[in-house]
Amino acid sequence: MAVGSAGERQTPGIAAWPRMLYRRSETLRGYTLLSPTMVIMLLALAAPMALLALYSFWSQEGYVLSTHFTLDQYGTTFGRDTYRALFYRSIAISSVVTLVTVLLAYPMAYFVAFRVQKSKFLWLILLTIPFWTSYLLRVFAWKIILGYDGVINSGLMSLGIIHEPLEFLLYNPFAVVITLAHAWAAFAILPIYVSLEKIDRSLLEAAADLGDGAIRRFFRITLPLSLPGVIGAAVLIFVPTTGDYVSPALVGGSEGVMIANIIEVQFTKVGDWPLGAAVAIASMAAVGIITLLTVQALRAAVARVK
Amino acid sequence: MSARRTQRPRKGRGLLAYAILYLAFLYVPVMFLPLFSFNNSMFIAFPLSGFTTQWYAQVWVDSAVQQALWNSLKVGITAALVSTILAVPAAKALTRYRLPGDASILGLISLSLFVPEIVLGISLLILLNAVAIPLSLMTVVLGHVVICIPFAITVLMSRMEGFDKSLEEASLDLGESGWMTFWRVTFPLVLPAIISSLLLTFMVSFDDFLIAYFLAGTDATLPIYIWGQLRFPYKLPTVLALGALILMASTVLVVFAEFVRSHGIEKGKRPMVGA
Amino acid sequence: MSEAYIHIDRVTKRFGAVTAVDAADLKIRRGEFFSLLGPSGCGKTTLLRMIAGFDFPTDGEIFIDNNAVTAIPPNRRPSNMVFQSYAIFPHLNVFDNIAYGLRKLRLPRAELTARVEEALAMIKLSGFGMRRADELSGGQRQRVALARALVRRPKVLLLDEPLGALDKRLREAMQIELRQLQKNVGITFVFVTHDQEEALSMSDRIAVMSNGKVLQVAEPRTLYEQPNCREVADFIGTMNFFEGTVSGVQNGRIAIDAGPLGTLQATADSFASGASVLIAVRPEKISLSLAKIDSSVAGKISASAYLGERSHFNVIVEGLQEPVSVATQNVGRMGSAGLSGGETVYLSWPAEAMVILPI
Repeated sequence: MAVGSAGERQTPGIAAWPRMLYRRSETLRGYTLLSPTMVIMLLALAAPMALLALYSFWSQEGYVLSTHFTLDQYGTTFGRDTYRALFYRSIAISSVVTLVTVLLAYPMAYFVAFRVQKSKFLWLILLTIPFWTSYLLRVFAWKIILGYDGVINSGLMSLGIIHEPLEFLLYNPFAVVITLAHAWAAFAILPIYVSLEKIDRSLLEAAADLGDGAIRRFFRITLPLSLPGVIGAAVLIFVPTTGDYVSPALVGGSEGVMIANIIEVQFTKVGDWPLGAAVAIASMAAVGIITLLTVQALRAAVARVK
Repeated sequence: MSARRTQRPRKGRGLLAYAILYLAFLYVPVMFLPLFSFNNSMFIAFPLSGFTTQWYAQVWVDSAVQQALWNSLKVGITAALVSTILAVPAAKALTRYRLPGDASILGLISLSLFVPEIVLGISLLILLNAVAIPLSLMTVVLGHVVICIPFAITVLMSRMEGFDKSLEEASLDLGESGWMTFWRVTFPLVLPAIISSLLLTFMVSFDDFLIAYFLAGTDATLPIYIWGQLRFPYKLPTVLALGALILMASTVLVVFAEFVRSHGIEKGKRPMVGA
Repeated sequence: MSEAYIHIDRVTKRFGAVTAVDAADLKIRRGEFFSLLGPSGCGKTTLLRMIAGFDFPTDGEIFIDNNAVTAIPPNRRPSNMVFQSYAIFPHLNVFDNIAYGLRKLRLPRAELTARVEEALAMIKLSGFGMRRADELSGGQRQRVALARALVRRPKVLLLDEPLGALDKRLREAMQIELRQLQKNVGITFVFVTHDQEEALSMSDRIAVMSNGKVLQVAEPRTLYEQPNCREVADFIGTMNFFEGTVSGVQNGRIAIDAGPLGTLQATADSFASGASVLIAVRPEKISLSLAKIDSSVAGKISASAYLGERSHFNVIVEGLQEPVSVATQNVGRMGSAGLSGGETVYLSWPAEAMVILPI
């Protein structure tokens, strides 16, 4: 019967095959759905970055852009003492900011993940609102707080604690650090919170059952398991803050200038785009390498402790 | 055992105190903006000299503010729509399909989170200049779409991961095409995340200063306008009033967005957990 | 062989390097309650999903009612599915869930309502139409999923472990109900389960799968009494295995040298003299006595378990590596109560109780 019926069976026509192939291939369908986003990302992110890299090997001759290959811009970038100093300062400021932010955020994230029972949503909202609200205004707030006639000086003077405004508050690296630490605080909490929330609570109970006290439990279970979140948060703060422009420009003064301000100047006032491109590429590459090495070192250190 | 129990509340209270201090650190500095925006003085300094709403009145009638606000709204709404519409199929592909190389795709998409904004701004500026596209609000939108997409995809992916894949299969099984399945099942279930994504990407665009600064040409968005005013001390009180208004509006928007998102997730998830 | 309503024609499915289904060949009859049985990961769900159209065979074809459906998307196949998670749409109420698949038919409103009401009555949930999906219990969700699929009057109903999420009592009630329903509607059911009792009690025929391969397709009784290989025998119920060598063949009867068990006579063909064989005997086919009788094997009870209507014993027979598992019915008031451990007992079984398998 089965053999006899084979002749009557309807098999799909030739025309159906390309469509069928498409349907069979999840991969193909997935890439189709992704393609509009990928096109935008290639055109507006990857291509511009590639062009930026290309520009850094060109040079600006007066008003004319020379497309001859040259390493002059990198020579200038690495050769000028001011640029090197600015780069080191950017790294130093960002490192301090990252350290401060992560250290401050960890207990907060821990509190929400482990101690808050009913009002978790409320706490998370309170912690994410600053994340989404104007960065510029958050930086600006510190300008009016730390300023010569600002909130702190005028407040302390009207309380009679000081008689002359404190000049060291604004326009220095310290002002940049505190401003950035505040402005980026919300970025540190969420990754750490997520990694803490993921920890299986029975692991902690098991550790307690096996004789570990609260402090040992924290260092042997909670901290190692939350480390991916900590590293994520650190990278998410360190990398963008090294290139921050707004904070140094508003509260940094001449002592607090960072690498992004130099880049901006090349693209606006000076008009030497190739040099600006070279500074941008060189500092991004350096920051990338520093970040990778640090993360690797951290992971290795953790692996050894385990 | 009883010793541990008596310890717990004390430790909790210490952390709670820390958490409240932390919230104060987050919020108090920003609160000075609304505080001084009602102060009857040109100088942002204590003691407060008196209550006034004149700075708000000035903001209200300032045509430059209106123009900048209008520009920001146009850019923000367009960037939110474009990035969310692009992110819906992308998030579906990344959660629903086996894709070789999806990690590197996700890497490219979220690259803009790790690249300093100034680099995003100048590199797009160079490209637009190279292909001779004049700077305008549309070029700002392009830059904003790049920084909005990672947020949109994150919000949408977490929602799509949260619901059972077999719901979509059930719809196909019951005779609906892929397209109608999207409209009858996927879309209604993802809608909270779509709303949330629209609001949050709007916020990202609305708040952005640096990319707009490089790409806006002669049109000013609200952050560019504010940046310009910061140079003039006598303008500061109106900037405070404007800033206070922006903070209030964005807070309302963010609370609403987060509420829609988490509420939607809980509501959608409950029935999916096996009976 | 009667007509193959669903024909799985040498279907293979590979995910990368993993072969989930390996050249499966099945013919399922019209109106049959057919089960795919096997441990998790054996490929049964993948096979079901290929019949539904969610996965595509790497190789081979699938025919339903003599039409090749391999290339046809799930929304145009004459089959409907009850999902393991039930996949009740959380944003729709019960009525709209059931009506979901009827939209395309463009029925008049009255007829649509009538059909949904009829389906609700069938699953004994009349009046539940306006309930939200999250207000339903597990059993109710399972019924709604069933009604939603059946209301489309499919040629084939596919069920992916539909009772797995229910508690034991409800599951047993639903087994009977489901079987009754299948008889009433007369639709071909393809039922995936890992629960052998469920498969045995509900199915007309069962395909036992393991590691992507179909091992045996048979009626429940045959599967239990005449497994065709060690894996099937092992998976369905409990089985004792003894190794032996065929020592003589004579018109459909063979003599087997079974070492410590002596020489056994069995009914079997297609075994040559000298072949190694596996002798399989169910525990309940073995009689246990305290007195030695003819052609019995002596052993010592090493463990016993009292299970109410029956008792289980492990009996150590010298020369055998594994203890022999024996089940006795506790017919008398005291049953086999006296036996607990250490006693010497004698085991015997009739020749037809043995299944002879090649090694």
